[in-house]
Amino acid sequence: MNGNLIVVLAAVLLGAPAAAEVTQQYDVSVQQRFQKTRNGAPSARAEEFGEKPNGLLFETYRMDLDTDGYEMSVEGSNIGRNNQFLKTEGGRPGKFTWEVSWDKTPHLFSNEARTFWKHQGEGVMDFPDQLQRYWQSVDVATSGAGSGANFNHRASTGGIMYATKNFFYVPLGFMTETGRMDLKFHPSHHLHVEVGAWRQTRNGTKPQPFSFGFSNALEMAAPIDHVTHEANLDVHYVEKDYQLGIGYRLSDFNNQLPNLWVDNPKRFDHRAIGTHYSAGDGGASGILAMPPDNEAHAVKAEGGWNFARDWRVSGELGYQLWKQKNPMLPYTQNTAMSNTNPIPEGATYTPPFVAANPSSLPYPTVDLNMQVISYMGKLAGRPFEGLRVALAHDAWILENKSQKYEMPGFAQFDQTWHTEAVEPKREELREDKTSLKLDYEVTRWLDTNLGLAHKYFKRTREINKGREDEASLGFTIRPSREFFLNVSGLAAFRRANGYDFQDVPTGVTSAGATWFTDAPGTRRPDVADRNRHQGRVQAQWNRGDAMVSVSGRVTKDAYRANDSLNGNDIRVRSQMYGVLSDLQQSVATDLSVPLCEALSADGYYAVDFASRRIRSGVSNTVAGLAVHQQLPGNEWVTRVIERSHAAGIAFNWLPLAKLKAIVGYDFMFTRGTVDFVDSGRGTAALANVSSITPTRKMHQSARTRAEYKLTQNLTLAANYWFEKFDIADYGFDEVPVRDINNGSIWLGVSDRNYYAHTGSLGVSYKF
Amino acid sequence: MRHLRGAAAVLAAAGIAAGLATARLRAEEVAKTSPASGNKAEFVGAETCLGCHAGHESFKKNLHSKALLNAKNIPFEKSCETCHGPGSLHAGAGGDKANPDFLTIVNPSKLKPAEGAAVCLQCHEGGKRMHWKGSTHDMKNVGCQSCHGMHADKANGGKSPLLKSAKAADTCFQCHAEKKAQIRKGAHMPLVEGKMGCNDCHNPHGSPAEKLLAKDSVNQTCYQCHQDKRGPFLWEHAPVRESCVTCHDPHGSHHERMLITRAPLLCQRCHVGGRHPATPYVLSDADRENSRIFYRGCVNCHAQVHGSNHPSGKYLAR
Repeated sequence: MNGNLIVVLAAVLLGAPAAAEVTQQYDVSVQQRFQKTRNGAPSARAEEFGEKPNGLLFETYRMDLDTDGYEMSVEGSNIGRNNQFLKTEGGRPGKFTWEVSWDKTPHLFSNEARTFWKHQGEGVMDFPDQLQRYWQSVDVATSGAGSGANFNHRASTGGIMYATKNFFYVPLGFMTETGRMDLKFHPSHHLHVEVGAWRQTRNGTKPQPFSFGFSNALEMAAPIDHVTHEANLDVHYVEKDYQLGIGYRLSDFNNQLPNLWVDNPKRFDHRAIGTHYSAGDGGASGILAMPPDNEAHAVKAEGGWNFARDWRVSGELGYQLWKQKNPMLPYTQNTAMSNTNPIPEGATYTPPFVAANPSSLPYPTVDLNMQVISYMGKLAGRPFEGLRVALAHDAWILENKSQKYEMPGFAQFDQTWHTEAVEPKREELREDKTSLKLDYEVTRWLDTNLGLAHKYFKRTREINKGREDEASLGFTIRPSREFFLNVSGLAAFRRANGYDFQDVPTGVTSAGATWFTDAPGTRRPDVADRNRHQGRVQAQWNRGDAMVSVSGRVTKDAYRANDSLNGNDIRVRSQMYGVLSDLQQSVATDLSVPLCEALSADGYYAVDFASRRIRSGVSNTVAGLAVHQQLPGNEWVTRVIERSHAAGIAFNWLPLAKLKAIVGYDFMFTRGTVDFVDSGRGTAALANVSSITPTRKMHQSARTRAEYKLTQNLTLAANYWFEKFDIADYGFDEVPVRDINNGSIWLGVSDRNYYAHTGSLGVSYKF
Repeated sequence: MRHLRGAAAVLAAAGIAAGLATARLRAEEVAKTSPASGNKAEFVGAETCLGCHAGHESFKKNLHSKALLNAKNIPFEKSCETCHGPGSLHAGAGGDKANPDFLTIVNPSKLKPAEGAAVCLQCHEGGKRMHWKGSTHDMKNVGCQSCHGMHADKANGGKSPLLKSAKAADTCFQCHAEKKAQIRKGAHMPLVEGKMGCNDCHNPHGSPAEKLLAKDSVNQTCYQCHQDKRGPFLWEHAPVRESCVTCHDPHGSHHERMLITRAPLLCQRCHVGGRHPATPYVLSDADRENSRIFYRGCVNCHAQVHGSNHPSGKYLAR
């Protein structure tokens, strides 16, 4: 980037006088990095949000142009790298300002993903027919087509070897590029107008799960090609005693690859079968619906009025429309699923039409429409000296205006037709909140806060109405301007009477017994009755450049049910399932302290602890009953505990006017455990449960930096940075590409330990 | 409607009460008159101020001094006293803190937070500050000066937004120290990397939503960047539609994708019942990679947990 060119351009743009004050600064460095990763595979975590290359780096550039009343700046960071950011802004503050920026932010998932699916364009994910034919032949040879036995080609060493040869490396990650323009201008000093436009592209790949059957997890590097455009217009009219604002925002999301057409590695030609779910060898291919194109429009009007003496009323009214209209995908790609090709298991497995034919669909398009109406009104003021009051009511109402869809069935795993009328639920939600907050100055050094709130919920779910009442009390002690202590407590009680037992979805087993996809006693934590108690303490001391802050928080949630847990059906066990309790505690401190004239320290330490108890239960068929039964012996409680410690310390040393040194160290450690407690051990699965291996992550980094100001304009810098990451996680450690026990196919993406030494020498030139 | 009517009645009653109230504090009403002589303070101009407060010379390049001139035609000479009030009595005290006239100047940073904010709101009570009064920060005695340094000698060179700290997030971490730790957890958004800031999601100046969110709900806030999750979808997943934080902790988590716990436990919080949702999956040497506990757990098959647009997407697997 040519800085002089920018100065000239700026001068032309602004008509700036030749006497404009211009400052520029370049930061350039030469970096060398040595990184070692466990097992030698390159770690993606180190460069998750930006590459760390070797060689010559253009770290930052900044140019400021300042004239009487006009200003302009150009800045860039990580120039030429995959996380670069460029911005230019300027204008006459108070009259108009503009800003144009371009940002690149990568999100790297892995450098070691391997797959045999290749994206052929238009969302088609396939692999060589030769490979597909080979596996199918192994399947037929070992288990027989449609035999009902699990597909056991995975036991074939030759098959695995053959497959492994066909894996190839793919980059796994995407790049988000965002360009935006904003213009703010003030036609008069009462009128403020903001106009903005924004374009974002997201390209690359992401790990995408898919499945052709139970226990047959597949994972692909799915292509991403998203484009989003947004625009906004906001107008504010501001008077001293009243302000008005209106705004409009458009967001248009476009997915260039709205569907993935995925080859089944276990089947070359389509067949329809009624069982055999665990084999995953029915359809030769399947369709995955990716996020559809959608658009959102939002308008809002807001205002505020200062009236009487020190009172203000303000409010906002908003309306949003979220919609999509896209062609409806066929039920399946499996052409064998049709009325002309009945399968032996029974009529319910045979569709009354060719399921793969789009003309079999009851609707040609998915045309959905949601609206949100939101409003808020607030009255805040000072009824008398020392007391401040805020009374507010707000509502958020999501209405689903989509048409009703009803399908005669659906294709399961692209291999089996389920004749079962299904109707997607049109989710709706209403949340209202009325709150009152009081702040009373008891003395000059003591304030007390009181808060009361009532929330009301309305949903289209198993619990369709609920409320939550909340009360809080707090004290602020401020004995001097330099110190304050906040102590507060909150109690909140959420009640969701009327759990709709009938809303629990049911299914029918092959033996004809009714089973509940969710046990009637389940109380979901986002809607269930809950007693919440929370306490918070915060102290802060400030003097000059020194600041010390300490805070602690405890939140304890107890979930409960105060209505029938079995829907008054005596065949169903009356027990509450789901989250029973949740406890979260944290203590943190942050400080910035000048130790002496030349030395200062910044530091933080935080520890948090979370514990959650979840009760689950396996349901069993009970002789003589027409329902699956929850039995006491089949229940267990899981205790999930997480702890984390984070700390950091940095010293800033200025031994000489020209010399500055920084030494810092950061540490983050998190650990999670899962234990099974209170197990009835009534089933084979429960008899053997044991705690899951704890998971741990630890990240450390140590940094040193020295800067020497050689001349007024030239500064030399030397950096050394050590970084170390350690992980122990059963779920993401040494992920194979082929799971020989279950037949799953993964991308082989593991989270790996690494350490890295990075050194750089840099120059900063200012002129 | 019942709730709306109730709220309207309460608001109206409070409004009437407010009309009867008497106390009002405005910056221009503070300490204009000498307690000793009864003389009224008058404007003296910035050069007089800088005679003693030479450390604020850089204010000439401050955003405030530029904007005041352009927006309100207030020249630099009058800029100090626009916020601090007329300074003749203060200047006349000659730095003698024992002289009552010395205290006739308005210093917002020495006022109580709400009173200090009233000085700023004389000009800034629109736009993003529309709902400041009565907001969480306001009612907890956090004032403008808690975060902003109006003279900005040290922060971002006198440029917007005149924060006390060089990095916006550090301003928030003064009080929200636990978040400073949380954003460093294994799964986090790129805050540490400088690609995001707290104010991308929160409006610290007050908002109609809870937690000072910049948008009217949690999900709308998330949709700012995750438009692909907005839908609507043919098959919705109700808790996803209602609130992303049912499953994700946006400030950072021990678990991948910032999940509040990992699958299958994440899903088993809500799904307990027949067949595989309620099986106590455990690890064993022979079955380490059971797809219901290994890697992403339930999501290994139920890939479209955020919603599916597929007619066969009932179980969010298509």
